[in-house]
Amino acid sequence: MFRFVVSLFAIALFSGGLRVLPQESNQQAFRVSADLAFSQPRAVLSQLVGRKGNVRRNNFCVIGYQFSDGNKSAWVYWREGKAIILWEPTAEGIADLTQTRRYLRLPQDIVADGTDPQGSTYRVTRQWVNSLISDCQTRGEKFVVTKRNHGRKAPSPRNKK
Amino acid sequence: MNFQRNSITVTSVVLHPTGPQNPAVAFELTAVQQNMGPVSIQSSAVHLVRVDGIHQNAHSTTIRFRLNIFSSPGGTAIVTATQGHTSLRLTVSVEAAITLPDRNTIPGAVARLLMSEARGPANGAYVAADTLRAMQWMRRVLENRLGNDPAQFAAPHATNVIDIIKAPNQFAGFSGYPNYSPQTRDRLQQMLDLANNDGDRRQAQYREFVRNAITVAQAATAIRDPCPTGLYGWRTQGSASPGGRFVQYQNLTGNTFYTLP
Repeated sequence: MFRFVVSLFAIALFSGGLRVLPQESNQQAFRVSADLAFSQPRAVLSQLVGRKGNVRRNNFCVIGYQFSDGNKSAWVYWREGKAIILWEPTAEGIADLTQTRRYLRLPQDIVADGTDPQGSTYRVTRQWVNSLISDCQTRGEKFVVTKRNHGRKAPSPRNKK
Repeated sequence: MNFQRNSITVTSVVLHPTGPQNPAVAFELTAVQQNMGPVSIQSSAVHLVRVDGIHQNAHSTTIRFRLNIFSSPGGTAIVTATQGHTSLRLTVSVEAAITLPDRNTIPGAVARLLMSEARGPANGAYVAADTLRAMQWMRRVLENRLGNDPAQFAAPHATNVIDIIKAPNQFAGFSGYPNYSPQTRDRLQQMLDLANNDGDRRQAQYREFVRNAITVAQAATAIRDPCPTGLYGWRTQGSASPGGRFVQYQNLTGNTFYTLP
């Protein structure tokens, strides 16, 4: 599984010509760390890793898009978590990405090569995934988040003071 | 004296039954006279509203207390604070907790899907009226899929909207309906908890959001299709088309709606 995700990543890196699909050509990329509606990206990602992470070192790439109607959202590519996650502006506090409307699992939520999503409201094509990751590598922001206390054993009750 | 909730003076409140997700509601009685004798705070209907945890620090002019709310179907109680010959009344209307229709019914399935897919109050750009319209369009999509060869939407033997909703890989988390993914279940439960939590200032927005989803799901009359060729799908804005045959119609509340020409 990990090899599959890494290969997707590699394909994306070496396909500089790939861009988001034509119907989204009117969207503009932005850096979430520079936008108040996406506050504290590192804290958001740390919270996600704390709740769903399974490894100590976690690599993220985050890219925001603003659309012609003014709407903004961001996509979070989580390499070790094998996921692409929708991050929408929060009304208050920091976003909880475990509660997002779209949590795409890789590769389960990618349609098979040569097919299209057949009306699915959420499954994506490999081309879209590759384009997104490529765009994120070029114009997005990268974060490395360490899972706290990963691998440490909880103290036994007898040792508690 | 004044009754206050979240530092705002109130003379009447609407509350919902106290439960594990809905703690007793904190109030304050302010501007209490220190030399006018003891203060009592009592409910006119203890089976509905009980005053609890009364506390006053020495030399303070504020008394803190909580209200515990009991049971459906609801009703009204008067909470009265009395000090000497002075009394003050707080009208407490008790509403039943908001619940979703049975998940094995069509309105139950549709309401859950709408809550899961529509932009909710957690979004900084949330506007209730726009989300209501998006929910109506989503309901239209479901009806159109049922009425126009459901096989093309992975539901070849569909006889009702639930069959459309649980079609494989069509709606995130709903393929195994009436079972749905733990993440979807947690999200829906959190929204319901907020809608029923009298101690959370987001309650009114969530209550409206959940009510709108239920209203759209239960609508007996057909929702007008905004698109001349009919709505047949939606996608998160910016996540590409649902397939080669689909044509973009309009963006609404972070979703792009599609038609089939």
